[in-house]
Amino acid sequence: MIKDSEKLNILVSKYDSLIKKEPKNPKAYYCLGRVKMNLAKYKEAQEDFEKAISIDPNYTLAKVGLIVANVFRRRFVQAVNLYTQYRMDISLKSVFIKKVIRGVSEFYYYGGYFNQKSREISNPLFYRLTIQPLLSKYIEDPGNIVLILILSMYYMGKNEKSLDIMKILKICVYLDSVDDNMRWALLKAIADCGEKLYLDLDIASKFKSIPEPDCTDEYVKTIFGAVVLGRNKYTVKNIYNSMNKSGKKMSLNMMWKYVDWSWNVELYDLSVYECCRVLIMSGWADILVLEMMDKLIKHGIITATDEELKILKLYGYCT
Amino acid sequence: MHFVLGIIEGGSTVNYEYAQYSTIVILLLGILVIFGLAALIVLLKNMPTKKQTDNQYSLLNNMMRATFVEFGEKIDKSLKETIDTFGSKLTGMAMEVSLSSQALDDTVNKFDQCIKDLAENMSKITEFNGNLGANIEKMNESFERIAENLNSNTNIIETNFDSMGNLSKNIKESADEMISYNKQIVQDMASIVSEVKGSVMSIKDLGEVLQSHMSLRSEEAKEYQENINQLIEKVSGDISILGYNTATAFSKTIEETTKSTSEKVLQDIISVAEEIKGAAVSIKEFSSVLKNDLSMRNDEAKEYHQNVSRLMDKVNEEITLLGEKTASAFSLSLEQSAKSTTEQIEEDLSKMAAEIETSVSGIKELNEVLKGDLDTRIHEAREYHENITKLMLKISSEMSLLGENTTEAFSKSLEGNGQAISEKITESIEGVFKGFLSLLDEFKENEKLLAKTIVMLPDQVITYNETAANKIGMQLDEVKRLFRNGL
Repeated sequence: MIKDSEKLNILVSKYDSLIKKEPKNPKAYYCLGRVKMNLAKYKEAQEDFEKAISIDPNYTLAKVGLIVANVFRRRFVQAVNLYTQYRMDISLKSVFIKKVIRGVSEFYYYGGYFNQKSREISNPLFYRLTIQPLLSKYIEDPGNIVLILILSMYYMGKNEKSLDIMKILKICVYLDSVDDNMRWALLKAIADCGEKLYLDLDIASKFKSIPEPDCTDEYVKTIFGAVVLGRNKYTVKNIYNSMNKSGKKMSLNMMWKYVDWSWNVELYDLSVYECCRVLIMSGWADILVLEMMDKLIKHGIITATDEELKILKLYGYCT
Repeated sequence: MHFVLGIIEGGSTVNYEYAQYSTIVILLLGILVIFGLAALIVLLKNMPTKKQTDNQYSLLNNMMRATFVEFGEKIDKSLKETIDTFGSKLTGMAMEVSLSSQALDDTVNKFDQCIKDLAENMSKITEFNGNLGANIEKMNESFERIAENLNSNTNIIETNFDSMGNLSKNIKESADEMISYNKQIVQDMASIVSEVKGSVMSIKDLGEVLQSHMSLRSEEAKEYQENINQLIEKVSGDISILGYNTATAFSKTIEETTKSTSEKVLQDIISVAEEIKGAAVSIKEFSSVLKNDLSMRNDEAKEYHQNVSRLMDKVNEEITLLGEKTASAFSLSLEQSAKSTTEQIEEDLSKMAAEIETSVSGIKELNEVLKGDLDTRIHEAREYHENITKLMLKISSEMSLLGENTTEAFSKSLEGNGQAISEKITESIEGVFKGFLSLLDEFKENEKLLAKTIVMLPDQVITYNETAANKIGMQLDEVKRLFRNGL
């Protein structure tokens, strides 16, 4: 996601010029809508998505965009209804579902509407006009992802606890592509309800980055441990980078897992060396770390320091 | 077809729309064919008689014609509509494709990448089952390797500990050697110091001895002097005593000699008188006898008596005469002998006196000589004493100087030697210690690393187990998923 408003504005002007040239191009409207979503111009984005759909009624991505724009405009009932309307198109491809889930769930953290301190969700009118219709809709259509996500956000914001609520929360927590921050909030809410899923590697492996607010070091460790079990370089690197970005320190255990994963996926870079170096200097000198160091030196990726060479020689390497 | 393929390559949405259109057309054509065939079958089944047949055929012909005309028109119309729609949509699509080519570039690339990834993933999935067993084996192998590594690490640690032990032993031995060496040095130093002390003490003793010797000598000299004095006194006393004694003895001798001579003379006289008396007695006795005889012989005795009386008288006379003569002779001789003796004595005495005088003078000379000698001796002794004192002082000063010098020299030499030795020892110890220190540093570092490794071992084992368990869990989940999908 591009966050630089200058770049986004350039993109807006480009798509505007494209639309002037090709007024019947739905993709241009869709792209413009996406850019405006990033610029928090949700109403304009909604209009762009609607134009794209009006030009191409089968344009599912624009439909997805329209649902997300409605959520960000806090028109939750409309968003749920739109999902009901476009469900068939969206369910054709998993990518559409993923986009819907990601877009809606991003609202929890970036929208800030469902915070526990929010007065709006405590407003009886909001309950009567939004939540009650949604609950009645949930009875009719319990498989509505947008509805489930909005209800879970509401319950997390209200800090309400019940078995039914926990059921909704658990559905959401296991969904693919849920925003990492919302997933972390869901885990905490479920734990508050009485079921601790912090050690569930299936959930932990669904994280694409380290959740920003108050994620414990222990859970960071769990996420990292779950992610390095897979072979997805992008996910692991993203987690690794987000850890560095959020200032989360890697434990020796995590470093060793990272080295082990790097060995398995044949990734040899400076991040691996950094982990090897810390491990060796800490006394974690097993065959994997030593072999990796040897390989990094032999591949010319790094030049070992005297201290490192000393340790390597102590264990019979680089002699 | 190429166009369709191009569209398919162009994007998934276009491909999907084309497929939809082609399906609709095929479905419509299929429905039309089915309807035609059904109508034919119905007509064939309801075939009429010959008369009726002509009419019916004409009717059927008309109907068929009308139907086919209608059908043809409908097909034409629908085809036209379909083609128009299709063509317009295709045109639109082509337009859209051409318009959105810039926007689709990324999508195409992503799609290509997705296809590649998909292909890779597909190949990986096919390889997965094959690799699963191999992975498990590898895991086993890796676990074995880990176990081996742990064992080897343990062995290394053990050997390192042994070497640490040996090193510590060596260090201990070296330390002991150094301690013993230092002890030896200290002992040597102590012995040297004790020797020095001994030497100083002996020098002091010697000084004291010399002093005492000198004092003794002076005492001896004093004693000697005293002895000499005493001797001189004694000699003088002796000499005086000798003189006295000599005089006494001389007078005594003289007295004794005179006495003895007179006694002798008296004794001689007495003996002579005795003899005379004896002779007189014998004569008397003879006269008595003769008297007796003479009485008997009275006459004869008378005569004889007479004769004897006469003889006796004669003898008396003669004896008296002899006595007189002897006494006179004796007194004369005595007078003469006394004179000569006196003279002799005088001579002797004079000689003796002279001798005594000479002796005394000799003694005096001797005394003087002795006195002089003693004076010289005393002087000499004094000088000697002074010299000795000086010498002693000198010696003592020299000794003290010597002691100081010796001490200084010794201390200097000790200091120098000590410095040199200490420097050398320091150098050698420093060298040894440098080696030891470097070894110790290295050892400490290795020890630290090994300690760290040992400390890390439980964490490592936990991590290995955790990772292995997680991997196995993941693989089991995948297997379960495969089974679920298969079922």
